[in-house]
Amino acid sequence: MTTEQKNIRNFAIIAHIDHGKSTLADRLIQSCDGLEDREMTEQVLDNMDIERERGITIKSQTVRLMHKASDGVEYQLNLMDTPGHVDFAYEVSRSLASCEGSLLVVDATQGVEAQTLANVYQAIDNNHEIIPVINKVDLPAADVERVKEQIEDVIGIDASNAIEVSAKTGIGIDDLLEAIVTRLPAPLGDKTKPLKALLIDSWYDAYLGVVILLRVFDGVLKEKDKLRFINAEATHDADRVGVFTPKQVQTTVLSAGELGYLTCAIKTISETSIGDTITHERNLCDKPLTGFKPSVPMVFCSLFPVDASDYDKLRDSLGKLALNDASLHFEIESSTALGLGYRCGFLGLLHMEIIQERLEREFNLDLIPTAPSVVYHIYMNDGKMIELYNPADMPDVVLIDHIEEPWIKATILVPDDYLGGILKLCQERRGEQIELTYVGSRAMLVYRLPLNEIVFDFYDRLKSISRGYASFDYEISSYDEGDLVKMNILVNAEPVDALAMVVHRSQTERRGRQLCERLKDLIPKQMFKIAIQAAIGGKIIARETLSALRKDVTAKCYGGDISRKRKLLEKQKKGKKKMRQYGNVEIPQTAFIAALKMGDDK
Amino acid sequence: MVLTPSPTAAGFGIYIHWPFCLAKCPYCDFNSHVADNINQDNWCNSFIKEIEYHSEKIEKKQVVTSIFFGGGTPSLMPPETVSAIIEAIKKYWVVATDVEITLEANPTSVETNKFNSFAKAGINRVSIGIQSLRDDSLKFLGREHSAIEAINALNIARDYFNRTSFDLIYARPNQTINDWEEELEQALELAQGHLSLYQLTIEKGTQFYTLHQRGELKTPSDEESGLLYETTQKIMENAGYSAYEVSNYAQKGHKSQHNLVYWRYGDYIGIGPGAHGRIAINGNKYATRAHKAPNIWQERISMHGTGNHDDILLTPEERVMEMVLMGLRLFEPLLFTELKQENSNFKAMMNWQAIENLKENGLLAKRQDALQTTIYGRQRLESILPVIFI
Ligand SMILES: Nc1nc2c(ncn2[C@@H]2O[C@H](COP(=O)(O)OP(=O)(O)OP(=O)(O)O)[C@@H](O)[C@H]2O)c(=O)[nH]1
Ligand code: SF4
Ligand SMILES: [Mg+2]
Repeated sequence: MTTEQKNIRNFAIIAHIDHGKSTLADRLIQSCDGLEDREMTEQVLDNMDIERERGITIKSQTVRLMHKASDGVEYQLNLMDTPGHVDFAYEVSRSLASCEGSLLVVDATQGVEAQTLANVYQAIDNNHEIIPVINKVDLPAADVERVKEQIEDVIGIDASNAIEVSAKTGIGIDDLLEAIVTRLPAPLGDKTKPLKALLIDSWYDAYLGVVILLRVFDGVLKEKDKLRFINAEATHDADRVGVFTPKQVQTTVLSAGELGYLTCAIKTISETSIGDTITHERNLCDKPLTGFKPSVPMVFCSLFPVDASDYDKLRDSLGKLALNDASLHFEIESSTALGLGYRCGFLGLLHMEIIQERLEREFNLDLIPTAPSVVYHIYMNDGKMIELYNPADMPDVVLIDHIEEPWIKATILVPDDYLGGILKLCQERRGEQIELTYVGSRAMLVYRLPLNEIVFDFYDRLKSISRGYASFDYEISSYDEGDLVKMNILVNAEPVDALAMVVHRSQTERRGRQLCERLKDLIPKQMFKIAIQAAIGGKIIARETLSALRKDVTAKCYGGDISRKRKLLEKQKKGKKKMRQYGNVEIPQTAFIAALKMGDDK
Repeated sequence: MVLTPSPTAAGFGIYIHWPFCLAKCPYCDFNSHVADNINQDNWCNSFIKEIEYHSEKIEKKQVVTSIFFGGGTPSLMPPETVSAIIEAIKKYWVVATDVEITLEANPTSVETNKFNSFAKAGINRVSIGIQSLRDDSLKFLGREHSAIEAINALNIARDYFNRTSFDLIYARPNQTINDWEEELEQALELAQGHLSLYQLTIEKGTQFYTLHQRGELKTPSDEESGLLYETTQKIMENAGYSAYEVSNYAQKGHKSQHNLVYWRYGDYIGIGPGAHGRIAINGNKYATRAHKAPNIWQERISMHGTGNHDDILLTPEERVMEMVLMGLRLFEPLLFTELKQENSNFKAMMNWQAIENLKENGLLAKRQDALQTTIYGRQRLESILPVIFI
């Protein structure tokens, strides 16, 4: 199965979320007989449970396909399906660095969206040849001409020869394959030079151990080769070398221009560094590849086990997840109220939610997550700067000179009808408008916004105000001083650590009231009445009272019921481990978790 | 609150379960079945055999203080069977001279016609499933009798039994406080010393449960049901009926001795499909449970000599939990000396600070040697229980 280098095409499929990348990959795999029909599922490359459930791609996937083109030549196509969600933009950037072309997929009913822009700019930065692909043309609402105009006007690339496809029905797939072969360049590189390969990604596989995804730029990689990992300063023997078709196939060799996997006797992914250059121990390449900037966590929250004895399990579980997720950061944290736990850094809110869900589901942990927060820079009177990750740790205000918070540059695309609502939202969240332009009938807003206004519920609000039509992308811009205070939520006068948050003074009343109201609905009635308050320092800014429960007793209880009642009681006793004492009541931690999760509909 | 006088010994009861009914009521989750032909001789034999089995297993030092025929609808039993069972018990155990022998009955004429024979068989107390004195409610509850029939049944019962009781179900959908007050006043005129007043609860596996799930049956809110309960307490108290248990009310001398065995965590034998028991053997306490399906229960008896599953040895902790969760239902002190007999180290199981807190807030009453719920606390018992244990 060797292919001449000139007959190789490497490309990424990029698009805004849900525009059909993974479905398009399905069709390409099918057309090239990568899988038999009975092996095909929808979005076959989204093989993690969570990807399948949510219908989104989280991890990039690489597939080698063989395609006989109209010129009679058999081409090797290396396809990379990428995630569309902004949290996983880092995955996209790595894929783009590993190939020469991109299929820019745009949904014919939606048009260009915020992540379409973000991703295509990255592709252009990587000198990619770009094929615009207009997808979902089977839908009655498809408006191909309008989308072509947008591609030309907004992105500024030629859309006259865009390929019209339906990834669902298969329309246009043959044209697309032909375009891939004729319009995308073959990889450069020289197989006679010393080996130079890029470590694109690595993950842990229960059978194979650590699997490395790589792109060979120069030279040839063979099994049993002695390899040098330049950044990691490590030497390993190549165990297995192969490709995914998407089934794993051992080819024993990968040559310049090709993508594939490598396994060595490596135990954890922490021993590999993404973006590393791999070469031969005894025949080093000249200069290493530039690699990637490391991913930076943007959103932080602390995770505590509900049952303190689960701490070790939490540590092991985070470790296992980190085996496959280099962007997950975690560090031990100890809180007076919540005990021992971990402070975790995530790429964004979706990433955070997914990790929490996986910990609870795959590892059977009950967790208390604290409110998502960003990293504040606290400048103390003595001139020192402290990075504050958990609002509960905020130093005494009298010791603080000033506080800085991270700001982002956000790009929002929204149909004109909803512009008013979105402007109001941005204003409310302390946004500063940088630009307002039009893309056809849609407004393109560029705003500077404090990240802490985003992590809470901005994305949900954006979607609900625009009925799902607005799209959003952001990048970190700077740290700036703000009038920030720590807000505590008190239940029966005792602070709920998990709900402590840093808030801009102008937002305190709105946030405080909202949280108190939510908690009133979420905390089950107790034997005593409960006061729920929001406070800044000693000052109460919002309050609600939950009245005591009126009646809670089984009407009938005779001889037969005793066992059942006792078992119920034993279960409740166990459940108490998940409760926290607030004054004279015990409240299930789940109520606080729910308060953070609930969408803002008021 | 000052605690009420201390209770007398728990007693020793025998429960007989008759698993058949004429029709299944839509709210009922008891082990009751509708069967066409019941081989009465067979059934009588099964009960006798099971009594023999227990008599061999259990120490016979204890004097039987109560026998209770429950169900199902035991008033559908042939009086001969009832008589044979009572005779068998008397044959194997010492039975107290003032033993209370209760039979649950439904108020249809078929059953009231047999009251005479039941009395002759040895029954001295009936508990009648009246459930409501309103015809529309009876219909809603799927009952086979009318309000008039119910009243007749009570009159007949008075002629044959020293003591009678009847059950009512309240907190029904759309029932107002006024409706209930009137119905309860009327019930008090008919009552003869004991009433069981249950709030309608929606149990899994019943017709009402399905309706409730579909939103077609609305039960009162906690607020409304709390108010109904408090009103009931007041009316009963004014009428001279003590609320001696969460849902049971009695004038002096009329408390159900058999049910007190359960609540005081005394020993009881359970005989019949699905019946439970708590029995002490050599200082250990066992939970017993009979097979639920009537035919399997019978089969087991003929093949293995008993219809029971294996006995389960209760740990000292479990015994304390059971005694507490039952005992706090009563309007009488739960003595620490009693708890100590179940587990000498029971104090280590309790959260005394929480108990003190509940006391300060008027939910519990406590003294050196006992614990008791207040009216306020009894009404919220399920919330109290998890709190008082560590
Ligand atoms: N009607 C129609 N639906 C399509 C087409 N292509 C994709 N879809 C649907 O669009 C939805 C999103 O498709 P995916 O392939 O998961 O989109 P994606 O771009 O991979 O999404 P992310 O990986 O989350 O960014 C799915 O419900 C697909 O069935 C198409 O050509 N026609
Ligand atoms: S008569 Fe009694 S036991 Fe039988 S179904 Fe009705 S409520 Fe249940
Ligand atoms: Mg996808």
